[in-house]
This record gives sequence, C-alpha cells and structure tokens, in this order.
Amino acid sequence: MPTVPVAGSEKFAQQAEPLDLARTPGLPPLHQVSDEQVDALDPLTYEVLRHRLVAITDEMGDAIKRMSGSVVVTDCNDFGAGIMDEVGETVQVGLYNMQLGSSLDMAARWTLAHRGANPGIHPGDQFLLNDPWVGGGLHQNDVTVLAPIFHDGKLFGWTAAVAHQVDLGGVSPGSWSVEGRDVFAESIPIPPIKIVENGTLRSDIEDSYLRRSRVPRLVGLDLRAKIGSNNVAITRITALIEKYGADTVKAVMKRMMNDAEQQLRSKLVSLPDGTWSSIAHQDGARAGDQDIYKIVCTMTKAGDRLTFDFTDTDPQVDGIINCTLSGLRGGVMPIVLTMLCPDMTWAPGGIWRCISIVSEPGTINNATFPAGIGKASVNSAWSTQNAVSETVASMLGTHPELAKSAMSVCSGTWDLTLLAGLDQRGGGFVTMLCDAMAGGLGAKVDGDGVDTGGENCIPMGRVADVEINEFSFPMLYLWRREEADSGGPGRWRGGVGASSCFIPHDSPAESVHLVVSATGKTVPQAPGLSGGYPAATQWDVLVRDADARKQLSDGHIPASLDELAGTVQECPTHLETDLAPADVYFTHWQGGGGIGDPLEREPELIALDVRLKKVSSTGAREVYGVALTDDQFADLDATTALRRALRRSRAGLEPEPIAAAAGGLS
Amino acid sequence: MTARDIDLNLVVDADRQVHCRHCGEHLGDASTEPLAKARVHERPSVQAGPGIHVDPATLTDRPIVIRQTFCPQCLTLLATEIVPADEPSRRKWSLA
Amino acid sequence: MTYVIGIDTGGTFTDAFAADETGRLAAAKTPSTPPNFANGFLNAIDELAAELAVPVRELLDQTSYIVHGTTSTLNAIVTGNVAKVGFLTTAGHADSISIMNLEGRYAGLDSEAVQNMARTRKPDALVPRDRIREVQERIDYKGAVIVRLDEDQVRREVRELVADGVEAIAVSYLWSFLNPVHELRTRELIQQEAPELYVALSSEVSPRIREYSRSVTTIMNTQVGPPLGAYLRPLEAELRARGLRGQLLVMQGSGGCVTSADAPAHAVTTIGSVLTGGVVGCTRLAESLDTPNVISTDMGGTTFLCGLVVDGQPVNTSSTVLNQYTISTPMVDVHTIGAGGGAIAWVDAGGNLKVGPRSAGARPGPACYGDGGTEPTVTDADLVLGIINPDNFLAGRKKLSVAKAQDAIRTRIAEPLGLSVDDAAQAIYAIQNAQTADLVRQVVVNSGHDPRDFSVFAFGGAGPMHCANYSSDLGVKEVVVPIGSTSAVFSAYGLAASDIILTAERSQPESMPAEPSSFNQVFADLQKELAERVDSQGLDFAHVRYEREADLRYTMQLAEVATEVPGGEVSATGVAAVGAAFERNYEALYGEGSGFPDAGMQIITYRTRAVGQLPISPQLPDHVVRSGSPTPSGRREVFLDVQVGRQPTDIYDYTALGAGHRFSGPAVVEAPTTTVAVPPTFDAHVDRLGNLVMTPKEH
Repeated sequence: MPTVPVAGSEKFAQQAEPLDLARTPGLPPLHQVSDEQVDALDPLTYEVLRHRLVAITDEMGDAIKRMSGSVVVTDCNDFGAGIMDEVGETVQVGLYNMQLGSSLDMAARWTLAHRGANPGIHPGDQFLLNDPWVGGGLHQNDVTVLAPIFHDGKLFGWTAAVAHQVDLGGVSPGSWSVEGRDVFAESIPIPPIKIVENGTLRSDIEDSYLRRSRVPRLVGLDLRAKIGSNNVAITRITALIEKYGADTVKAVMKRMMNDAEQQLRSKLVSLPDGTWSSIAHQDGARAGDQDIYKIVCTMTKAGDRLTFDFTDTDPQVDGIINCTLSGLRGGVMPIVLTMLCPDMTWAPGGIWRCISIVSEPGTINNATFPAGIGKASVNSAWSTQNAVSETVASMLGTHPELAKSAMSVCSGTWDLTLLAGLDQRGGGFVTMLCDAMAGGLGAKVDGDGVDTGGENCIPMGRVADVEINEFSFPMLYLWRREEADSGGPGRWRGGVGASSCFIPHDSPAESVHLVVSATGKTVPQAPGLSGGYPAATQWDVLVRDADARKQLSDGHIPASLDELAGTVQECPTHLETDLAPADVYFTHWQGGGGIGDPLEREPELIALDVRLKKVSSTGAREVYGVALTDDQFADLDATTALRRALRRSRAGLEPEPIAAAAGGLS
Repeated sequence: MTARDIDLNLVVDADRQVHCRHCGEHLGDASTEPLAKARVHERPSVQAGPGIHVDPATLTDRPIVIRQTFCPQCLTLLATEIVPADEPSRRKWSLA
Repeated sequence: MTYVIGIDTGGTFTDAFAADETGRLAAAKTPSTPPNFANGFLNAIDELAAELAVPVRELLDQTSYIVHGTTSTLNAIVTGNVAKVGFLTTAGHADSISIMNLEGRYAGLDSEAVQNMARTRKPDALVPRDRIREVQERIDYKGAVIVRLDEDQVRREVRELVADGVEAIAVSYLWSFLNPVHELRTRELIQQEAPELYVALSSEVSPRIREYSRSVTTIMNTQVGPPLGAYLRPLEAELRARGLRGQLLVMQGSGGCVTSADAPAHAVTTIGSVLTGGVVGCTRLAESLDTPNVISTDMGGTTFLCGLVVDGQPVNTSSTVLNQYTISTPMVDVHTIGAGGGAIAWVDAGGNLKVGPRSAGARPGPACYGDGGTEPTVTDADLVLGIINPDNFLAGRKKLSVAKAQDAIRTRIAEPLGLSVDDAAQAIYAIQNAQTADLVRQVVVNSGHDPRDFSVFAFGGAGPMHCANYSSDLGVKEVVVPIGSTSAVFSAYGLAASDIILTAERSQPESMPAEPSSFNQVFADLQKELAERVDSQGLDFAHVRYEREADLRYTMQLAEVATEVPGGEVSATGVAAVGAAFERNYEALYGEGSGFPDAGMQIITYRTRAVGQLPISPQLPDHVVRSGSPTPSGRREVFLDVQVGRQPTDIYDYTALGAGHRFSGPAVVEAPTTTVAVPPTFDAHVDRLGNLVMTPKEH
C-alpha cells in the first residue's frame, strides 16, 4: 500500500536551491560583502585566513570526538562539522563523514526561512534538528545542532555539528525499524527547534528530545558535545573577526567557495563532454520484502557543468530504505569531493554551483513524507553514491591524469549488526558493531583497491579492536579476518572486505538481541568498471544450536562455518531476532569493485593473491583463468590454456576446434 | 573530437569511432552507440564466481544474471554487471 | 676528573657533548658515517678529546657514562633492514595487523593526502603471510582460558619458521596482558626448539589492551632488537678496548635512557628517540631558567617538530604513529607538523599561494643553496627579505645566492600572481608563520593548555628566523632561542643531561572503583619488575624515584587520561581519590561538563615510571656578562613585519653579545649556527646562559 501523503508536511520539504532573499520574510539582518570586496583580497590574507578556517573545523571535530560517548563517533568518525556563510552556503567541512557535510546548507536555509520571525534567531541561540526533509543529516539518527554567529547585531554565518546517535526511539533498538513501512514506525523527525536560547540550554526542550531515546544520558552527552563544538567555532571565528574585520573574514569565506567553484569548473572543462549512466540496486525494503529496487543515474557533463539526472528511479517504497533530497545530495557530494576535488579546499557551497540535480519527489532517493527513511544513509543515499561513483569514475577514466583520482565503487553499503541487552556487568546496552567500517575500496586504473580500506564517504574511518569490543560487550569472537574473493575481480582487483564471527559471552540475560540489516545479497552493490566484476555479495549467516562452545572447550577454535554443527540460517536482508548462547553469528561485509578484464591480470599477481588469501584458488581458476602449482605459484602453461578456453566460454562461445588450438592460433 | 582513451579497453578516434585498445576492432560510434558491435552474453549470476555467496533464487523471484560485454574480435571483457535480467541495461555512455 | 658524554648520531651530522664535574664543557659536530654509524660515533669522541685537550684513552677511562641517541632502529624500520621475524598469534586474528583497524591507510598523513583518497594506501605488511602462524589458544576478557594452548602445534610452527630462516619470533595472543600464561609457555617451547632465537612476548613488550597496537609494537620490537644488539655490542666492545669503563646508555623515546645491554630487549622504545632529544634538552634548559611551561619547537630543513613541557615535565603520549602503524610505546609526545625551512612555496590550480607541505629537503634544497633547487622555499624568502646574510650563513661555511632565490620566487610565485618579488617573499614568510602558529596552537590546545601560559623555545637551523613571528600569533610570554655554547649540539647536551627512565605498564581494564587489593597488586608487580631492571643497569644513581599513574576513562568515551597515583598502599578511599583526580584532569583538559560520569568510569592501564637520576648533571655555563645596549655590527633593510614592511634594521654579531645586553626590535642577530629575527614588536635580551630571549613589547 503506497504511503498516504500527509497534508501539512510540505513546508518541511527543503529544496536545494540557494535562499531567495527577496522572497524570504522575517530574516534577521544579514552581514554581507560585495563581489569587489571578495576580489580585492590579497593572496597573503586569503591563505592565512583560509588555513585558519580549516583549522577551526578540525578543532570542532576534535571537540566532538573528545566529548561524545557514542562509539560511532569516537571510533568510526561518523560525524560532521561545518562552517556556513550568512545565507547558509557551506564554506568548509571537516574531514569526517562527508555524507553529513553535504546538507548542512539545507538546514541553515530552512531555519533562516522559517525561524527568523518566530521564535527568532538571536546571538547565543542554537537549533537542534534531526529531520532529513529539512536537511542536516540523512536519517533520524543524525542529529544536527546549528548555531548562528552574530557580529555587531548582524547574522554573520553559521556553524553546525552533526553526529549519528545510537538510539532515538522507534520500535527497534538502534532506531532502524526493519519491519516498519513508514516514518511513523521510526524515530519521529524533529525540525529545527531552539534548544539553546541566549546561551542557556533549555531543559524543557532537552527533556523532550531525550525522552524518545533508550539511552538518554548518552544522547544528552552528545548534545553537549555538539553545543560545545559550536561554541568553540563561534569563539574562534569571533576572534578572527576581531583581528581582521568582519568584511575581510567574510570575503575569505566567499572566496573559498568561489575558488572551489572555479577550480572544479576548470577541471570539468578539461574533460570531454558526454553522458554516462549507471544503476544501483537494493534488495529488500523491509523485513520480509523480496523486491529489488533501482536508482538510475544519468550524468551529463557539458562544458563546466555537471548534471545528475535520476529519471527512471523507482518510486519510494514501503519500508526503511528510502532517503530524502538531503540523502540524494549526500550521495553526490562525497564522490565529487574525493574524486573530482581531491586537490582543492572542500567548500561545498562553491562546488554545488557546478552541479544540477534532476530528481522527482516521490522517488526512492527523493522520498516525500511520511516515507520510511530509518536506513536512508546506508541505503538509498549510499546507493545513490554508488551510482554517482560509477558515472564520475567513468568520466574521469577518459583523462590520463585525472583518472588517477578515480576508484571503482567502494564497499556498497553498511552492514548493520546491532546488539542490545545486558552486558557482562549487568548494565543495559545498545550498540552498533562498527567492524563493517573496514570495507574494501574500489580498484584504481593503476592499482588494486585498498584491502579493508574503509568507506568512500568517511575518509578517516576506524574500527575498534576486538579486545575493546569484547571488553565493552558480551561477545567472544571466533575470528575477524579479511575474506578471499570479496574484492571484485579485474585487471586490478577491488579491495577485499572482511568478516567477523562471534558468540554471545557472559550476558546475564544469556541471549543478546540482534538486528541484522544489509542489502546486496541478491545483487552485489559495489560494481566494477571497464569489465571489472562487482565485489562479492553481502553475506550474513546465523548458525543456530552450533557446537562452538564444545569445540572451544575441546581445544579448537572453529575456523569456518563448515566446521560448525547446527542449523545454518542464511539471513535475509533485514532481520530482528535474538542471539542465543548456542548460536553463532557470522557477518561478511563488502569489498570494492574491480577494474578491467580479470584475464588481463598477471598470473604471478593472482598467485600472490592466492598465497595472501585475497583470492581463492577457485576464484583464480574460474574468474581469472589462472592455474596454480601445488605450492600456489602460477602454472603458466596451464594458465595459457585455461585462459584461452575461458575467454570463449565466458562469452557464450563454443570451445575452439581442437585442430586450430593445437596449431597455436588464438 | 580529440582522440582519446576511454578506459582500460576502449579508445575513441578523431571521428568519434570507438575501437578496442587490445586488437583495434571497431565497436561503434561514441556519440550514439559506442558498443553497437560488441558481443553481449548473460548467464545466471551464480556462475559469476565465488563472490556470489547465496543463490539469489532463495531470496527473490526475479532472475539475476551476470551480463558481460566483449570485444567481438579478441573477446576482451569490456563491461560486467550483475543485475535483474528483467530490466533493460542502464549502463551506457556517449561522448558529445 | 669525571666526564659524562652525550652523542647524537643524526642522518647528516653526529653531535657530541661532554662535561666534567667542574662544569667544563666541550662540543663537537662531525659528519655521520652511514651505513656504519659507529665510525662517526668514534670520530666524535676523538674530537671531544681534542677539544678537552686530553688523550682519548684518558677521556674514556674517566667517563662515567656515554648516552647515545641513535637512529639505527628508526633507519632499520624505514629501510626494511630488519631481522627476519615470525609471528605467532591467536587463531582467527592473524589479519589484525593487515586490517590495521582501518586507520593504517591514513594515520600520520596530512589533510591534503587524506583528501586524495584514491592515492592513499596502507604500508607494506610487517610480516609476510607465510611467517604468520595462528595458534590454537584463547583467553577471554576476564583472563579465563577458553581454549587451552596447543603445545604440539606451537612446536610444529616454530620448527617450520626456523626452517624458513627466521631469526626472531614475536608472540601476541588476545588478552595476554591480562593472563600471560600462554605466551610464557610459548616462549618456553620456542626456547626448547630453538634456544638462540630472539623472542618477544606482547605481554612483556606492551601489556596493554588493544591487540592491533600491541601486536605491531611487539613485532617491531622483534624486528629491530637483533640489529640494535648487533650495532651496540661491537660498538661497546670497541669503546671498552679504547678505555671505557663506565656504561654505554641508549636514549629512548621516553626521554630517558637505558643500558646498552638492556636496550635490545626493548628496542622499540628507541625508535622515537631521535625526535625526543630536543624536548629533553628543553626540559633541562627550562629547569635552569626556572621556566615551568615550554613549547619546544625544532624547525629544521625538512620538518618542524613540536613538543610540550608542562610543570617541568615533558608531556608524554602512550602511543605514536610510525610508518602509518600505531605503536603503543609511552614516549615524549613530539608532533611532526608542517614543513621546515625547505618548505616549497607554490601556486595551486586556483591561483592561490600555498606554502608546503612538500619540502625541498636537504637535496636539492632551497634555490639559494645553488645545489640544483629551482623551487622557491621558505629559506629563499628569508634570504630575499634580508633576514639571512648570504655572506654570513653558518658562519660563512655556506655561501648563498640571492639571485637564485629571487629568480625562483619571481618565476614561480611573483609573476603568476602579479606581485613584486619582495611582496611575494613577504607573503611566503607570513603564510609560513601563520600556518605554524595554527599547528602549534592545535598541539597546545589539544593537550588542554593555553599558549599564553607558555614560553617558546626555538631551535633548529630555521627556527629562530621565524619563531618570534609565529609566537606572537600564539600570545606566548616569551621566546627563547638557545644560541649559547651548546646550541649546535643541543640534542647531545640533552642526552648527556638525561636520566635513566624505565617504564612498566599493564592493562587490567575494569569498572571503577577497582578493588584496592588488586589495584595494589598490579602496582606492586610493576614496582618489582622495575626495581629489578633498575638494579640490572649497574649504575650508581644519585636518586631513584618512582612515579605512578593510571589511564582512566569515562565508560563510553574515547579519551583515556593518565592520572597521577600517589605512592604506597592505597585504600578504598585512595582508589576513589584517583577517580576524583581523573575527573578534575578530564575537566581541565576538555572543559567543564565534558565528562559523562553517569555512565561510570573505567580504569584501563596501570603505569609506573622509574626515574634514576645519574650522578652528574651537566650545568650550562654562565655567559660572559655585559650590560646596557650592545653595539650593532651593521645595518640593512630587512622585512620582519607585515604591517611595517621593509625597514632599516640593526644587525648584531652574537659573539659580541653578553649576558645582560638589551636591545629592541627590529633587529637581526647573526650567530655561528643560526640567525635570529627580532621583529619590531619585540624586545630582546641575552640571559645569563647566553640565550637570546625575546618578549613582546608592552603596548
């Protein structure tokens, strides 16, 4: 049943366009500078202040990391920090989760347009929001705190801190309600609300916010981290204004965006005009759903302009995987930054000016309220990112130098393992296991993808040590290791992903609640380029009534699922269940796509891959056409024959007539 | 149009004609259908190698295939995708 | 006569320093002699003897100890000339050192490199796959044995590794720091199979939670232990043959040293030592000057190093990044930030002027060196601006070409930007200083301090030309440039003045409050271990003190904060007091309300440091006393300040300055080893030790 639109929700559907000042009543007085002032900046002042503003977003990030109690923030760098100008254009984002840095502008614009008159925007105020239709984050877990900077009675700019919160309500722990059909089963979004008023945190609003969470004290701590981070930025920017003058600092901010725009335009002009299109699939909108949905992306480059057209994308679905416009943009910007803008200041406000988006509201990656968006960030936003990644990398492939900044699609989605229950000390806990951060990166035009290298949208991610996880949560790992064949085969291999396999251990409740959610089981989500294969499919397995404990006490650590007795349950895309003491959970997250024809990869390199367990001997033979000696070196003669045969059979051709083959013709 | 490499396998010449870099075979026109003459072959995705961990038939009713595009002459693999078979391929490109 | 000697073998120069108990000093600087650094070491001793006008045999005979700062372990890691190592680890976790917790792809890289994501990669594997063996054994978070050690398997693996030619084996099992029983037994088995192998256990090298770092640290220790032993043993034998009866000590990253007999077993602690000499020197100098808080800055040609001294003690860190690997060795916290005098100025694709992070290094070096460098560097700007005197650089030992510097700046910067060469040089200078100030500020603020409470000590070849400018941005109280008799060999002086520092630590994570009996037991174990090591150094200490601390954290938060623990048996009240001290430290570092006590506290790692004060503490000599204003040796147009631009500036010859001399900026002081820029906003004087001290003028 299609979701019924909610009349009255339209006002929260923020668009991507810059603010139209003439048509926005109730704005506070804005500090502005002229183009002449921007052009008049000398190179010294510009560079000094630019460097200072970058340092400020670094300080914001440091502040959030130190204060946060959320493992996804402290251990995975899953947060964002940014500085915006007076009309909400983003001047600088810190090097954290780039999805979260992409739509801070929408949140600032909405706040300017809707809160200026009532309740007003004043010095010392900070606004909290987790409404992805408004902007800021991509799903309700992403909570943004937005703070205006005032100088001499005028609104000078904005700072924002956003981070993923472990739980904000909804029917499932972790707020990813895998059985839900719309947003009402999830955490209810909060549009911008003034949580700090004139420097004071309002207890009534804080209570109202925290009331919805299963871990309110933790979420309250993160709230303070974000408020503190904004305060650091405001203090430092105010000091900068006092030293250099507001007009100069603002001129630098505008110039940073102009500069990024100019540099990107120049780079686009150096690439050929053309159109590249791709597709990204997601299997399963919610628990029990078996359908497969598509996001279609047609990217056109004309002159110095890039257009992403998502026409033919599937309509939004009953489930948890839709995303809003902020999610769509969160799929575009991380790729543009890492592949098109690695050598310039990351000023999204300028970069967006080079980009047009064509997308119909009501589609899966531009969903209207009340579509379910609990997993937006790792589903439709991430799949948008995958499709964009393909088109951008393909375009870059046509330029000998710029091709080096491209990668095949990196790990195609987030593999959720959410655990909740009682820990070994008897305290309640809810946590997202972040091991899946160690995804494989996509192959490059001149090298393999980085094995367990991370995620494309978080340039500096981390995973916690096994010991930290075993200390914090009631679990015991049988293994955590890289997985052979998980990187997409190709002339250049995609980076491998990895797997974790564990049992519950020492929980007083014995069982541990488990939420599993990861698409990519029927259709792999990290495709390759130039003939390269996609990375492996997502693979999560529950073994019920396994004999792992018996094996351990008999002196053996099971080293594969095959070694376990019990009942194997291949997990569907979304599942909520309990992990009993006799159960084993295995989760194998994704690698990166390959590049080029696997038959072009040097046989010695494959043999090395096999010895290093990046590729199995089966994979070597069946996909790469490489035969190995007993001690796993390349058998060149057998390989030549095998490749000759495989070259035909994989193309659906009959084998060569024996006479021709024996004659040495190929 | 400037002649240029398109990717590891394809090159386009000054007349917008696309050729295989490995054997020179003409494949199509870059501004319309670059791989018009390429050979396309589909197989069930379970044949795509050990990276397919679970038979998709256990999870979906839709047929999933590995669809590959080859140079008709030297049979170099030019494109690979694993997709539902019941939709047209969306992966294309063209140069202006 | 009794002497102490410090010898610091750097990549290019070997610096040596000697002092006797009457306060007589000698310094020597001689080229290093890679690959066999020992020769340079012995040459330096010869030069010291010559300086002191005594025969080498007499000098060595009367030397109480020689403290050696060596780069040999760092070089070994960087060049890959390390022992062939096998690695035994818990089955299922061999990939920990390849997964690298993911951060290995970007750890230690600057933001430009991080943004260029497609070009980032992990470093080469520490141990090749076929020399990693997974052992059937398992211990859990309580220290309980879940899977017993398969001894037969260990024997088989060791035999295979030995057959493969490994010289050393590193062992790292999960949770071994909590219960080392399997690691200890494994070593016994290895020694039965191959008694001559070097074996390192993670529960001894780095008994801390977080297996990735612990394993990497243990492996690196195993890689560099044998080569360090192979370097030190013949060196010591040669020194004894030449007359040494005292001890040869080796500097560690902790800022203290250890005997050469002990060093190879803890070789990983010497890897960072090359960076810490400067901070140790600053600590001693700070002591002499009664300055409790110092930002130590060492700006050389290639890198800029920054460390902190707070309340007279260097600020330490419990882990550090080397080659993108995170090693868990307590060390003086030295940050490599930005680039040094060789930082290259360039114009980016958007027409913006940038300085660094690329560097021209020593080869080809700045354009003005005339060694083939064509890109303009910070040093070239310094020369064009008049700060450096081309005829009096390094006391005339190196001639600089102003024309080459101007050409490089003109073609690469001035013309593309439509600026005059002078304006371009000024911009390069100012950008370098502003960036440095930003990065130094980050170091200070991230340690929870305020730059305004600090003095900056600036050394290194390029530092003194910039330090006043970047310091004024920071708001520090004063800037001290050590250019006395020891300045050229400042690090070697630091070595000779150092203490023996031995550290023992162990993780035993649990919720607070910890049981007093187990709390005391861990510290008792650490104390016993240290006391034995102190004795085995074979030195006559003036005094040995023990410092105790514990790393605590709020349960859900990232940051562990080292918290002082008083000596002696601790009661339940005492444990609670440690918790309270942690909360105070946390707030001081991260701000009021930043802690989350509701989630509880955890104590993670216990640490004890034994500081053995060596009997001789070289004192820096007082400088000759003068008073009033000194006479300038010259005058020229120099750019020292963006607001003022080029202005006529007094030049002073350092060798004519005495303690008590005072003068005001703008000024330039030319010394044999460096040049000091005194901007117009600063006053300067020479202190009793001959250091040049700059203080901001009152407004």
